[in-house]
Amino acid sequence: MNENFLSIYHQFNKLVYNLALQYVLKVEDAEEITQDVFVKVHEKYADFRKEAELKTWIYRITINQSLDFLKAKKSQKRWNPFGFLEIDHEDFGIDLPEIYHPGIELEQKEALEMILNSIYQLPENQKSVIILYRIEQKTTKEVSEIMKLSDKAIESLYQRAKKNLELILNKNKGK
Amino acid sequence: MKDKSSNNLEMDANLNLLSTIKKLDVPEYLLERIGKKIMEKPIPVIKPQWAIGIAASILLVIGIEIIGIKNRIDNEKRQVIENMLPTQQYDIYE
Repeated sequence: MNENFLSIYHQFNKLVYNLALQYVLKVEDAEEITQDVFVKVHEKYADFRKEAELKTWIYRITINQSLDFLKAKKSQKRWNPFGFLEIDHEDFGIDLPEIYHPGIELEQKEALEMILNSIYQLPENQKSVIILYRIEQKTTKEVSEIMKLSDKAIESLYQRAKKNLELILNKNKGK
Repeated sequence: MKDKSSNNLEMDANLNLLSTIKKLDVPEYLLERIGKKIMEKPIPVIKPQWAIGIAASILLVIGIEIIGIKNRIDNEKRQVIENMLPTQQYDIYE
């Protein structure tokens, strides 16, 4: 590993790890994604065109890697021949992840787990917009750069995400 | 971003809770694992588009070669059959 890569790693490892964790809600999975993201950064850095900021580029890779991980996990679950032996939350209308997130404080554990569960069930883009705005505390401009959408599109996506989140939360509370 | 709607205070309170999530430090062993993964991965010498081009060229050469072999076999067969035919010409009106 060269020094350039090491400096990128030390600069962005916390960002990648925590962002991945907000998507997958499990430490081991976030570690796996962080590894894959930095292997990709190492591979693709020579092709990185610097049209975007390095940070934005790393954000995009992390989001894509996290979403791919979730997709792979879902399809793995679908094709598991012994899947019928597991308790499938999808049968009850909810796809609950197993949460292991040490960043959640104990007093807010229950409330936050419920919100994170609901965010987990949002469509990909809506999930990203909520995570970037509310957990990562990014501005509209930053979110639009990361997601390659206009400011207006981001704002309307956020409103839609909020509405859907409210519906899911109410549905989950009713159960 | 500021929320314009005032009727969903509960929702805003829920969303505000998200900012209390603490950022975690990355475990130290991860860098070692990444290093291992990078070393294990073979560096691709040939780019994928080159590989497609090379494969197409090889297939083309094989195709041309097969057609050539087929023609040669056909010619040889024709030659054998012609050799088997009587060479003497008979005048049927004789």
